[in-house]
Amino acid sequence: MSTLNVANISDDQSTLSNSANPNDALNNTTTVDTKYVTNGCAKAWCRITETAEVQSSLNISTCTELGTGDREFNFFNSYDSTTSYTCNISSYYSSANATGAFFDTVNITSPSASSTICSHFERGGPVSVYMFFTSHGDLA
Amino acid sequence: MTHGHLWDRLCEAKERLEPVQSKYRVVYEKPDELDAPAAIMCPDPNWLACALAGDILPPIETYLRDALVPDGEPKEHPYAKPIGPMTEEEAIEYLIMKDCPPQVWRDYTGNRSILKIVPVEAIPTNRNFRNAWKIKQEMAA
Repeated sequence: MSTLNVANISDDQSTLSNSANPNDALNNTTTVDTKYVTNGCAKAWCRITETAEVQSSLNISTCTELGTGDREFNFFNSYDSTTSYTCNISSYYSSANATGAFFDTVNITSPSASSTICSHFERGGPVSVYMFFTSHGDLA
Repeated sequence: MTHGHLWDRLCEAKERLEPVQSKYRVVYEKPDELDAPAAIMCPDPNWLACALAGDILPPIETYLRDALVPDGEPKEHPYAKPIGPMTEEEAIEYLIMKDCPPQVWRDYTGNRSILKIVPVEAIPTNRNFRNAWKIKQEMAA
């Protein structure tokens, strides 16, 4: 494997739109530290089926089906603290002609910042569906 | 320190190793949540590939010690020296200790079966009445 050591990444100012916000700090930045890239990337992501089988992922050790619609994602490399990371999920709904409200919840419950629980609801109750999970933050 | 950070190792391994789908699932019930259905734990294919390859995962003891570290304090497992390759069965035992609550695999003293390692085929694909699933208690003759 080759390693490219770069301290800064420079953008091409000629590609910036004239309508770009002049007050945006990044608009006037010609270079950015590579830490912005490495620290800002998703530290964990996962795609699971309706039976919680992991199809593809990064930094996940297990996915646990806790019950209908409830899924627990356990991290391979934990986060620094329970307040130093965020999680998002999106999901399919169960059928194309489903009606009613759909919403997903994320609950960071692990005291060691090593897992998070996500749930999917539709039509007033939990439903098991495909889920797509991403997480950003500071690793331990 | 030559082994680097766990994050670096797992990212490098994801590029190098083919994912391995486990032929096992772990089914467990939390003894302090009597009304909760049985949970089914599925190993991650990339994680399992790392476990089988070796020199990527930290010792399980580091995760167990880190579980006791106060929130925000430095953790040990990302910097620990990696362990060697495991069999799939050893990897499942490692995962139980890492991701199942300790009251299931370590502290439970009752006589009900609350933890089982089963082949994938033993889990029904039909999820009807999923919230009523429990581990079958087999009576001794």
